[in-house]
Amino acid sequence: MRILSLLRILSRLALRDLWLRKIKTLGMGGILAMGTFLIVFGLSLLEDIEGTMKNGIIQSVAGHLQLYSKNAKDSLALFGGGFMGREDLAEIPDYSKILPSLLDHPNVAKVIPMGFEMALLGRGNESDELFDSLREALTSGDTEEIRSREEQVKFHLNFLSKEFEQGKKITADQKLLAQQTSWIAEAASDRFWLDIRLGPENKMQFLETKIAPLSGEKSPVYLRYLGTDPQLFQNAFSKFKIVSGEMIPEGKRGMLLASRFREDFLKILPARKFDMIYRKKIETGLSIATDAELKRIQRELALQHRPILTHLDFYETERLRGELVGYLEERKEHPGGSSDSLEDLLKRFLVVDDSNFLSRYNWFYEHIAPLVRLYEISPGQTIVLRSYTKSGYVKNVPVKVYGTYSFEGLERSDIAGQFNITDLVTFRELYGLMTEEALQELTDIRKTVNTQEIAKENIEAALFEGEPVVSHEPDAFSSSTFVDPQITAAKGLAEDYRPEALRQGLIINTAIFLRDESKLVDTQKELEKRISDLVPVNVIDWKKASGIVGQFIEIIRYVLLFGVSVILLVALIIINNSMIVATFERTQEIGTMRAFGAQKGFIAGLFLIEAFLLSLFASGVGTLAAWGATVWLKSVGIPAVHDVLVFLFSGSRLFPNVNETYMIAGPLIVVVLASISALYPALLAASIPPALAMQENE
Amino acid sequence: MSVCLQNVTKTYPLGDSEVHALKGIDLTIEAGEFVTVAGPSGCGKTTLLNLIGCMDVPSSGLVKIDDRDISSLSDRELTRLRRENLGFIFQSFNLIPVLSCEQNVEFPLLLKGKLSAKERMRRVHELLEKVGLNEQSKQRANALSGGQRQRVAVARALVTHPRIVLADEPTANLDSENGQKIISLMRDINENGKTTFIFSSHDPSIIALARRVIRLKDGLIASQT
Repeated sequence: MRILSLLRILSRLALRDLWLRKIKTLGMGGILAMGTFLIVFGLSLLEDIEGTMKNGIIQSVAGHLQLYSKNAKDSLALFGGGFMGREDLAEIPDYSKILPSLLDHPNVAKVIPMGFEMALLGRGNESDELFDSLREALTSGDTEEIRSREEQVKFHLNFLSKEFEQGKKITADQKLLAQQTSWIAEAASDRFWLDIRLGPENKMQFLETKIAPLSGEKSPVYLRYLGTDPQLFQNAFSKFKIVSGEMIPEGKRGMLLASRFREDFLKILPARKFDMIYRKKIETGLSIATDAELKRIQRELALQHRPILTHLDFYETERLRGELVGYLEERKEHPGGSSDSLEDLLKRFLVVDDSNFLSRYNWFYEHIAPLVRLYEISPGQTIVLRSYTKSGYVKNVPVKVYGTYSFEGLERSDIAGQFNITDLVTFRELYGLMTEEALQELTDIRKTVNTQEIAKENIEAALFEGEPVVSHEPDAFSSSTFVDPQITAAKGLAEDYRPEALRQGLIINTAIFLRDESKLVDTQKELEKRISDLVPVNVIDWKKASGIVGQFIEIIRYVLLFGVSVILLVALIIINNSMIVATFERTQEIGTMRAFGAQKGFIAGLFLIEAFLLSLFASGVGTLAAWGATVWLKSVGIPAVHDVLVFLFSGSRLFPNVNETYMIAGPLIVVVLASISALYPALLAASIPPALAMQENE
Repeated sequence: MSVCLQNVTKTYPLGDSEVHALKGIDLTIEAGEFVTVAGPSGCGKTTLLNLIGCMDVPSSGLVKIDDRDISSLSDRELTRLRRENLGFIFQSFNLIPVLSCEQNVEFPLLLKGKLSAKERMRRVHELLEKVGLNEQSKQRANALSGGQRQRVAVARALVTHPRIVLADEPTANLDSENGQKIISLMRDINENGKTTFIFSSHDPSIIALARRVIRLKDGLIASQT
């Protein structure tokens, strides 16, 4: 009872003192509350992010551990190392040498061989695509189809003609321009289209060799690919899912395009712009009127009528024009007459703002998207990848696209959506590995063409002494959009391969799944030691393997902890300081208490209780605020306004959870630290002698 | 409880020199006395009360409370001695402003312990009644007048039933009427009980109310009656 009464009086005195110094109390309490809020909310949030990110990284491509050669000049960074360009990773020459040792470890559950590289994806140009369709129509003999394609090509020629008209003002070579203009005029003439029906090949060649180059090439796309054992990959990584098409069949060479990559690079531009605005505006909740990036995309979308027009034939153009007039009239956005061209209507349609965006977006996908070729590449097509091999020469490898895939939860992440998956055999081809068969073939070719080895110092003499014996004029004609002339060099590559090929030969890295994740660090060390006896390797954990993005969380954590530390340090210094001042201000009061028999412990307790109550109350407020913020954010979700956040959140929104550990630890840390900071003033107060109660009299 | 001082000196350091507050005091005060220590400012009155009140120890000589030499006691023992046997009244009242009159008076009882809440309240109100402030018992100490505050201080000094009450210039901050009332109150309590009262003053009208007067001058006893 006495202790309770004493505590009551101590608390009352402590509260009194806090109350008397309201401003100071409020300031100190505010800082402590903020510190607690940051600890509880910030660290809980980080834990949530780390959880989602960890699962995203491990179950998409990294596994628990990654193994790669120690000879690598760069560190393995699956999701990019933060710098442009590709990492310089050394190869592991023979996977079969290390696989048994890896699988032999009791904690290793699965091992997935891998290799990463970049290749160029040739894309042809708009004319090529149109002329391919025309060629197909002419071959089929379908008059309706031919007429439709004719209109499409004429539409395109009309555009080219306008472009060249503009070009007159800036070009220096007027003669060439005049010649090219005359080619366009010839291709657009009725005579030309009459003739093409009679003798197509000649006219098609004219279109493909003279007209097609006038459109210019589409910019090539860099395609990052991951060579692996596709079946093993599919079974090991739970986030992997086929989006369209089918899985690469076992034993077949092929590729799965990353759905995100296809959306980002191989989708028709207006659709891409619509998607970008949709993501930012509808999913993230930003406004076109206020967000600078959205404004930029809005301006770009407004210029995208042409890719739509070039995809439409005569009939589609007419139909779409009618529908668009109806749509715009319904919204009173059609001040022009019914004579407006589709081009004018599309220009008007593509001007979006916050109020009309969703309607325009839906209308685009309902009425326009079905008429155009939405993606450049679709499952079933064969693409040609051009790689710059490690040995320095260029290699073109055709590969069939079987389907598209994505990682569950990371569908919206550009960072995670850039791996196009292929089999290891295709990977090794693109990598430039010379197989025994290839080396034999090369020797045979050398024999056939009678080549001879020339020493470096004799090259000049061998090349320039004597007349050239071969003269070659490259043939500019190409009949396919995606098949490069050099494809012939790679055509001999078989479509099938032996399953053993995936368990032996060159790889760059492997993903390793563990049975018991808690033993990750030990297993990492053991594997590195075990495999390094065979081949020098690095074994790193998923976080390090993910590259700069994965370590981003650590950076945020350090920044947060630094911020919290500074805030708490400031709060503790203020508490300490303010209590020391209070000690001097309350000398007489303390002396009086001592005179009446208060022991030193009582006086010290008074100050400690004061700090305790202040920090308890402030940290309670901070914790409550953190709890409230978390509960609210759990209901609405934190939007991933940046691609890095999409990756970290493993989705477009993060729904944070209340973390009980931090809700207890946060206030506890603050209370303990505040009490420690009050220790010195408490001892100082306890040392005040009782005689000071009468100090003023002498 | 008797107080006995034998050749007591007290020296305070002051910069490089020393102040000799008491220069050799021999004094005995018997239980139940009503004594005033008189003298001008700086004569050593407060120092003498501090020593008797066990709030300080002498530089030399003996201070004995009930034949116990206080110099041999630890801080903890001195604190206990004060808590059990002594009561204090200060010139500036030294009440704890945030506490009510009742809580101020209760405070020494809480430190002392042993008593139930009920018993504590009974004693508190008995004393507040005695000093005429029962009606103000719930009021904050800083809401009272100077005279009322000092009466609360008297109640606080007496609540533990101390054997000696030390009062340092208890009337210095009061007008003469209130000063007289306080001393009369102390004297009544002294006459009705066995509590020894030792108070300091330099006011002749207050000194006149004491039964025994010890006059100090320059740290020495000039006279005593």
